[in-house]
Amino acid sequence: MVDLTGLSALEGLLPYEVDGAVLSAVSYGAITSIMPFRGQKTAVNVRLKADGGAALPRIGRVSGPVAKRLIWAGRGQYLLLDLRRGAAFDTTPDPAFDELAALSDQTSAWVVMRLEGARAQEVLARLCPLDLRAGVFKRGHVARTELAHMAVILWRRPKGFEIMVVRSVAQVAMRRLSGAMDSVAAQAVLGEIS
Amino acid sequence: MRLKCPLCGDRDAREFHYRGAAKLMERPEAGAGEAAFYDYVYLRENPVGANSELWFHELGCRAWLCVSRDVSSHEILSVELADAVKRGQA
Repeated sequence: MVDLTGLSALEGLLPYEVDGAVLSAVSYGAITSIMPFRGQKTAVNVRLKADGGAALPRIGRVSGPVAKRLIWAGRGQYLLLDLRRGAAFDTTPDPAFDELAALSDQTSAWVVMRLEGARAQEVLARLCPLDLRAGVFKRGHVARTELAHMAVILWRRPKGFEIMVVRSVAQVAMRRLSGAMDSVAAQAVLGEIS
Repeated sequence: MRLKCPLCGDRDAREFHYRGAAKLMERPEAGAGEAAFYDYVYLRENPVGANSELWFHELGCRAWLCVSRDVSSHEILSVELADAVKRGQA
């Protein structure tokens, strides 16, 4: 078989940096959607823990370590973000979950960007209707919301946010974010924002 | 206008898609006859005051919601998960 080179949807476009904010791409080895069947959530948690992972997070929350993170991703849906990668790493959903939950490999369906820096929150305020101040949207919080008319999943990181969009709108989202970064940086230079 | 999604909390109306009267949840049985389906598909109440509606949290958690809204004032009286309402009925 031909050995194809995988490219991310944002290949060569990131990182993008302005004064006060950096936008970079994050590449997860595997993204798996977990949708527990009705009444099977406890069994799914038992299975996840047996595999050495964390239990499913509560609504609007993140669980697990950075390398193997579980995020709430909407009604009845969770995403497992696994940083491991390489040829030996199998992204096929685990058959042990067959009776417990609908699992599907979403690795190439989503693009994850990281927005960090002192003005990250001001950048998002231009595009997103949520209150993302640190006292409200805290570490471990995740939200499904709107970013410039696109559906996104975003969660707080120690120095900023991770923003997840479907691959088809990756470049639009990136351009809207970098545009907002330019705008915030320019206003800061002009002294219009402190 | 804001809707308080039972999963996500208070969210701006732009995150939601309005589907129509909550009557859409009460689909007649297959053999219910033409009159029942005519009523289900075409006939709607037109109240002044509280109206039961179906909204979809499209740019959010993707849950269908049963919303009671005062159509004169746009006041949101209640928001429940459509799934919970439907199962409560069953």
